[in-house]
Order: sequence, then structure tokens, then C-alpha cells
Amino acid sequence: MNNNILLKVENLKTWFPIKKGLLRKIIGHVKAVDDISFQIPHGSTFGLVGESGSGKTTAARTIARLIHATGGKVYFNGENILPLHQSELRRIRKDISIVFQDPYSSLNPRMTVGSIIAEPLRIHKIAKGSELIDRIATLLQKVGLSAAHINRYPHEFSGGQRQRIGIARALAVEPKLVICDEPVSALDVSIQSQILNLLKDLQEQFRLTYLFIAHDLSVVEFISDIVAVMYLGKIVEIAPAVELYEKPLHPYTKLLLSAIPLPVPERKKSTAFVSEIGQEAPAGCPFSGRCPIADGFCCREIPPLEEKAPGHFAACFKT
Amino acid sequence: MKTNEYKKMELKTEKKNWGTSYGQLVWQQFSKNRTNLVCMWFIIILFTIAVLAPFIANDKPLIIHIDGKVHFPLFDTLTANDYAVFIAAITGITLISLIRRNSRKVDPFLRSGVLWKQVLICTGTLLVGIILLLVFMPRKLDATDYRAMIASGKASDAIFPLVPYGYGRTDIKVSQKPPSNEHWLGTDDVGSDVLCRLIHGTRISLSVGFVAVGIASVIGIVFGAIMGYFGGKIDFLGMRLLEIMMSVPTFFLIITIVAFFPRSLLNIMIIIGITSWTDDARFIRAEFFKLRNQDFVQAAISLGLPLRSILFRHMLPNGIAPVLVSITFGVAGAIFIESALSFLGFGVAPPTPSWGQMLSTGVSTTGEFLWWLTLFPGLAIFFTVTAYNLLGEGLRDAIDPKLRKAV
Repeated sequence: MNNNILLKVENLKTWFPIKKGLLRKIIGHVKAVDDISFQIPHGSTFGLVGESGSGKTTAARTIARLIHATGGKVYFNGENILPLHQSELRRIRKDISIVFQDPYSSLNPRMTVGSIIAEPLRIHKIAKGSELIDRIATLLQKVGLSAAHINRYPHEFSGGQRQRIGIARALAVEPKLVICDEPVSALDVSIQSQILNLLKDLQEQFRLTYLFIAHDLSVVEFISDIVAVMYLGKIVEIAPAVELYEKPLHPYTKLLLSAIPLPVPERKKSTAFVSEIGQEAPAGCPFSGRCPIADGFCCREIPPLEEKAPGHFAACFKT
Repeated sequence: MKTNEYKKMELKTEKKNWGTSYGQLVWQQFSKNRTNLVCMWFIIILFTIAVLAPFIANDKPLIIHIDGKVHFPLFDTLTANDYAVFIAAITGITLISLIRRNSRKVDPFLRSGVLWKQVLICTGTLLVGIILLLVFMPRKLDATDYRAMIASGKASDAIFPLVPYGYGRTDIKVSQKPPSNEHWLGTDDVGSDVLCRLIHGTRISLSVGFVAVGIASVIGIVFGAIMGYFGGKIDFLGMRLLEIMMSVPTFFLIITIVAFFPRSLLNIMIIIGITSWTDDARFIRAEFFKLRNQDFVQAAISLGLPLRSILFRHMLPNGIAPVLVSITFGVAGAIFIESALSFLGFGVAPPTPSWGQMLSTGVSTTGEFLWWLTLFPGLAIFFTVTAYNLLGEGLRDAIDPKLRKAV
């Protein structure tokens, strides 16, 4: 295995059973994450985009072992973390932390900012006593808050400030991988850029690796090195950020890019094709129902993720 | 953590940087309503009466001179039970004043750790004290009739409590007398003073309320928390058990159980406790279901915090609000059940006074209606239950808007 790879995901599946009737018989599955594979090198940012319900968040939470995986392997630092027991998992928990989407529900309203950040530090025996206070103060300053905020409660902060607290909590345990689960989508546009810049600065300072999830392509373009596009639980295209935005291969990526509301003169807008996301995945390519270039073959066979250009993978027969 | 570590950790932050905790927000909201405060003070006064009952109503004088020597018969005859009540009251007051002091003096960041230690020390002292008392305190019986001694001239200069009668006194000569100067609220069928029995009955009612609800809420919270956190099969089985419990009419179940056990106060408390936990369990389960998927709980899991911390630091404080409300209503309910049981003759055995038992003596064996035996205990029950219910409602109103606004 390549030493430069921090996280490697192989054929990850997360299926939720659909139960019905008195005996709760399983009548089917919602394939929230269906056979995805990717890898993230040390110190880079991996963007994961897709519309609502495409399984981005489920994928992230499965990798963080918050949701039970149905199948596949997740290698973290070369070790498969999916079969680990709760006791062994604690070791890994320290290295993977999450920044959540909603800053209003991600902080315990009964605890002060100080104790929110202090708890993981105490549990993982990183600091205690006066050193603990110093650390919290430094962390708060690093994320752009003041040390005087230690004694305040979350409800006394604005959304952007709360997100900063969330970031401070995630960084407190000195993680190697930070999973950012749409960290800016609940914030105002002006605050969004502040938080994104903060995340970039912190990445340089602490040599962090990000798994960055968003549904906003311009956000992902700004922060990511590699971008993967998800659709109905599958990754349809992976490419370095610049290449994906310049030369998108998959028709779904093209559709997404055409939906960016910013007026970018160089980027030619493709014809907008509006159709709703399918309720059930078709037998073949999951995108075949909405695809403008799909034919009968697409509806029968699932296209594999193939390398179309160096470092550029797409799952489409037509490209 | 040790105390000196806390001292080392003194934060250099000013008080104006201290945030308002959830408890302070609820208290601000709660104290805005005058009814709440009236009810709270009524209950505080009831507690004071219950704690100081032997000093308010007792047939032993506080001070008496016998043959030229000074005696303190009231203090000499206090039982281990009385002392246990005093210790509990002192611990409670200390704890409340400590909590008030913490919110002014201790940094919010350190508060939970400090409070935790204080609670541990207080409960420790309380338990050790009560156990020592119950084991080592000798039982003293003093059947001396001090009034007769004064009348015969053997003793003098006696100071009696406000109501100079014992609750167990029987005196057939003055039985079933209406209120008079001698007996302010009249006497019952065996000639005991009604006021004295009412005052001592406060103890029984309040302790039944608190101990029974304490047992019920501990069972309910543990049961509900397990069902809510783990879900799945555990939840399914737990809920079916709970539904079975709920489908049985509680009052008749209690009457049936009481018939099999000796009529003691403790038994009644335990029986009320283990039959009325279902509501608490359902509230906690629902809250935990909701909280389980909240991001801050997921964050706690993803940071690798131990289950103990997730359940009791992150989930319970956020889900306890509806249970607090149900506890206040539960106290009222338990007092009511105890009164009803005693009224029907299944309650505490005489001469232990209980409001419900006094009610039942309101109709004499000759069929005569003795209004003072019905009215005064009835009013006591009515006001106490009403105060608790209003308090519960005030608490619910104080908690609800904050849940929507601040959290």
C-alpha cells in the first residue's frame, strides 16, 4: 500500500433495510451508499459533491464509524477500521474528527464552550490542569474567537461563531483526518468564505487532511484538490479539481456545473435539462433516467468507474 | 480532579464574560410568574413545618424546672428519625446555598466538576449520618405527664411548644370536640388534637411524595434511557413491559399489593414508587430517541467519549426537562394516593398521623358528621396538591419557550 495514502475506501456499501408489517420483515434496501471507492493522500482535500440524498453524508458518517457499514473496507493509515470493536475504535476516534453541518445542533446547549472543547482533551489524556486551559485558549484564538469565550454557552453565539467552536472541538484532539460534513451550507455567504479561509489556514498549520462534503460546487472548487461527484449512492466521476471544472466528462457533472449560478463567461453553459431525481435507481446506469445522451444500453448495464484520462475517472459509457 | 488543581486552573476571565446557563435562564423565566413564587414559598413553609414538627407540636415542654433543676424533655425525647430529618434538611439547605454560591463565584467552565464533588460530599455525610443515627441512637420513651407535674406543683416555669399536645395522645374525655380555645382545630375520635396531627401529618405526606417519586423517577429514567439509547429489540421488549404495566389500573394494583404487606410507611412509598414510573420512562425514551440523532451526540460519539459521558453529560441534561415537570406532578399524585389509601384504611397504621386517615374519621361511629375532622385535613391535602400542580405547570412554561428560543 502506498504510504502517502491516509484514507482508502474500497467498495464501501451502506444499505438501510426497509421494514414492513407487524413482524418487521425486511422487504428491500435503500442503497444510500452503493459500492464506492476512493483514496485520499496525506495533507490533501478530497471534495465530495452531489445533490441532496446522494449519500454524501451517509458515506462520511460510515467512514467515521457512526453508521454501520453493510460491506466494503475502509483503510485508515493502512488499517481496516470497519471490523474494529468499540474499545479498539477509541484509538481511531482520536485521529478522525467531524465538523458538522448545522452549527445550531452540533454543540451541547448545556455545556460551556470551554467544557465542550475540554472533554475530548481530558478523555484522550492530551492535556489537563492549567495546560488544558491554555490549550483551549490557544485553540479558540486559532479559530478566530477569544479566550474570554471559554465561560459562555453556545446559545450566546452566532451561527458562524458556533461553527468556529465546532471546528475548534474537531481540532482539539489533533486529528489526522477531518471530515467536514457541509460545514458552510448553513451559513451566510459572507461567513462561508471566512470559514473556508479558516479551514485552509488550519490545514496548512496542522497539516490536516480533509474529506470535504458539499452540495455547492463553487465551495468545493475553492477548497479541494480532488473532487468526486456522487449520484444516488455511487461515485460517477473523480478528477483533480481543476480538471473536473475545466473538462467534465460525466453528463451529471456537466449538469451540476451548468447549475452554478455565478456568471462565469469562460464556462459555456450547456443546455439546462431539468428533471427530478429518480425515486428508484434504474437497473442500469443510475443516471440513465435523466441523462440526455443515454440509450437503451445505458438502461441495462451499470457503467464501471474507468480511467478516461490520467487521474480522471468517470462512470459513463458515452465518454 | 483534585481541589488544588481547580485552584491552579483559576481563569483570568472577568465576570462579565460569564454566560447565562440554562438553569439560570429557566429560573429567570420561572420567577417572572408570581403564582410560581407563591407556590414555591408555600411548599418551603410546608417543608419547614415538616422538619420542625416536634418543636411546633409536642406534649413535652422545651424547658421545665423540676425540683429546682432545669430539664429539656423535648430534646431528650427526639428520636433517631427526627435527627435524620434534621440532617437531611441541613444537607439540603447547604446544597442549595452551595449551588447559588457556585453560580456567583465559580467559573461556569469549572462548575460541573465543583458541583459534582459538593453533591458527593453532601450525600456521603447524609447517608453516613443517618446510618449512624439509626444504629447507635437509643430509643427513649418518656411517659411522664409534665402537665400533671405542673398541676401538682412538683415542677414549674415550663415553656411548652405552640401546640402542647403529642400526636399519639389519647384522651377519651375530650374526644370529638369541635374547635375551641383548648384545641384550636378540635379533637378526633380518640381525643388527639387535630392541629397537632395535621402538623405531624405534613411529614408523612411530604416524605411519601418525595421518596415515592424519587424511586419512580430513578427507575423510569434508567429504564427509559436504556430503551431510548439502544432502541431495537431492547426498546421493543421494554415498551411491551411498560404497556403491560400501564394497562393495569395503578390504584387497584396498589390496594392489592398493600393488602399483602405490613402497613408501614416505607412499604407504601416503595409500592407507589414501583407502580408509577411508566410516565417518566416514556418521556425519557422519547427524548433520548430524539437526542440520539442530534449532531452534538453524534459528535460526542465520534470524538470517542465514553458511553457514561454520552448518556449522562450530553443526553440526560438535555432530556431531563419533561421529567422534572412530571416529577412535580408525581409528588402531588403520590400525596394524593397516600391520602386515598389511608382514607380507605390501607395506609399507615395509627397512631402515625396521616391526612387521609384523619379524613376517614370525619364520620363518627354513630353516623354523626364531624366537619372539623373533614375540613382541615381536606384543605391541607387540597392546598398541597394544588401547589405542586401549579409549580409543575410553572416549570413547564418556564422550560418550554427556552427550548424553542435558546437551544
